[in-house]
Amino acid sequence: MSIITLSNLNKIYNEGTDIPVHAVNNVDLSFEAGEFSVIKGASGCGKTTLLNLLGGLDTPSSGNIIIDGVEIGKLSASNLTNFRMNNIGFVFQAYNLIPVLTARENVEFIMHLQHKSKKERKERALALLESVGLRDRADVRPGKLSGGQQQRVAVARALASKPKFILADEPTANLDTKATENLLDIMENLNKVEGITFIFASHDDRVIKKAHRLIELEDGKVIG
Amino acid sequence: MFAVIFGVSMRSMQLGTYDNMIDGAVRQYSGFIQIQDTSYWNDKTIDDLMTDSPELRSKITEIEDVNSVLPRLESFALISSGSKTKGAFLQGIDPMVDTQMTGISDKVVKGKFLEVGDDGFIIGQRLAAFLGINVGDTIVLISQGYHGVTAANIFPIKGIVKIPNPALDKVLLIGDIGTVQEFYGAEGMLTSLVVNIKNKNAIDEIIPQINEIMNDKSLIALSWTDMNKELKQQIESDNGGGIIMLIILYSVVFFGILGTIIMMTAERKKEFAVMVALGMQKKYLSAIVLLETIFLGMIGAVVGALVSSGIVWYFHDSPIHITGEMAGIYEQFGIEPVLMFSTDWTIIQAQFIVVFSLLILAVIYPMIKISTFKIIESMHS
Ligand SMILES: Nc1ncnc2c1ncn2[C@@H]1O[C@H](COP(=O)(O)OP(=O)(O)OP(=O)(O)O)[C@@H](O)[C@H]1O
Ligand SMILES: [Mg+2]
Repeated sequence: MSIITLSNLNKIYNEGTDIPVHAVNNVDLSFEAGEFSVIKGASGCGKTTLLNLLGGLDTPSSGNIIIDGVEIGKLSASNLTNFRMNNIGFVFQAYNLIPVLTARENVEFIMHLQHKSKKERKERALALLESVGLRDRADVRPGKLSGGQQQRVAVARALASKPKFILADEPTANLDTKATENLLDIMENLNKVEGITFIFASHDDRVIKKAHRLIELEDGKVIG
Repeated sequence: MFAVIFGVSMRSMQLGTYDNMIDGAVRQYSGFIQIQDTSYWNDKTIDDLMTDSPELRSKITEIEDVNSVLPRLESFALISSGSKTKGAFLQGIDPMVDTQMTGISDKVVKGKFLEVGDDGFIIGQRLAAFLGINVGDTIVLISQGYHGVTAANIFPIKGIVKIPNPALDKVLLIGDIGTVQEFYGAEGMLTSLVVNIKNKNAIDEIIPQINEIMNDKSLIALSWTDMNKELKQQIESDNGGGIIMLIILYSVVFFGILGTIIMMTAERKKEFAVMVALGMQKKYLSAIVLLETIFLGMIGAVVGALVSSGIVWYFHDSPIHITGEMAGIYEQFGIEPVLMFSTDWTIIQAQFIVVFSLLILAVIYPMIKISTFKIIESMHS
């Protein structure tokens, strides 16, 4: 059974005005557990919009999103927030670490919200930082980390809640080649060894090259 | 923080100055409550005296919040020494009890204070300087006595006092009540009984009790506001001005706090959005922001209160002396030309509470912002 099913999904910005933008147009898609998929397409084709809908950060104009058997459009705002916390990991283009927290505290953040014990938080955070090669930077704040390092902390953070899948919108857009290779290797490894499901949105060839499945968007429509 | 400092200092200075005005004009001279003969209150002539009654005095002393009751016989006299003559204000007091209220014996700068039954006088420093007299010299006093008697006698000067109120310092002559009564030919008679009270806020409760005890239409109990209408008015209008100043100050403070909070919220909008995206409940986030703001505000307000109490205490101990033209204006009103700071703890408390309330009011803004923001939009800001 697929963990994500999108059916008849539409997102229209500025609906009802003179210039409506059909950013996601009648999308039917499903994702299986363990996938390493990349949604690609030209700038403005609707990748970010689609990923935001998938992540429950934005609401569709019409259509259904079913994640692990739950139709997320039917959840209340508060339940949706909890659902995100427990099921979805996010890696953002701009890293978006919390600047006042150290790397480890950033990774522990969601586990805090989940009321995990101090011991469990600490152990898991350090293990995750280890897996992204940043164990020795655990007590450093994001400001003192390079972009690549920050993005790896963000991956560790996304994994902290043991989500069903990880959404990563242009995770490499701000990184140089070396950091990109390093980040992709880590994620590929996590996918292979731990079976973590990754869904990327990217037009970066270095990312597309690694994809196990490619989904191509054009003007909000899936074309391949 | 600065809000509290400004608020407290300003208010404290105002109230302190009023206290000083009241103190200067009232405590050291008229007392907060006086009992007079009704016709004396109206005409202020030496013929309208009241009879001293130790029984009445002791009864009034028994009222709660009353410290003591002081007999006074006050009138005018011509004072001369050598070739100089001047009008003086002659005050007959009971040296024992009077000084407990006015602390006047501490103000003696030369010679000694009066003893009970003393036949000499204590003179204001400025008056003594004008007449060119010193302790041990004799003065001649001439006046009209009770019911038309001529009053004239020679008295020695026992001591010189420095009266803070400059206008009074230029005219004051203090003698033992018995000596003054004898001088005016008014044995056993008084112009007034000064009621020395513990708490000036209790005046309105004490006066009816006194009236009940006296049960005498020819006597009247007066509060300091009855006796000093102009001072009271001046303080009230000045206080009004002070309150307007405070309102302006608070508006500035409020918009300052609000501005800071709006800035802080805008700066952290993205951070908030990320937190909610990761799974933090908005109400939880609101609670955290609320606590955080209150905590920061508390620190600010506490530091503000501490600094301002420092300032207030400093100026309370070494008040600012007004000089030049302003000083002249103060002196005309018979007030010591000093900006006093009140150390009344409630001022700091009040400022603290006001600033804190403004903070709570301002913190509504981020609360609303958090409850209404959209994750996507905020994340891209
Ligand atoms: N909040 C919005 N309001 C109106 N139109 C929007 C909004 N966000 C996106 N759009 C429009 O929707 C379309 C899809 O945008 P989206 O950001 O999803 O594209 P993208 O594929 O992620 O592009 P990029 O590769 O540049 O990130 C674009 O035409 C964009 O201008
Ligand atoms: Mg995009």
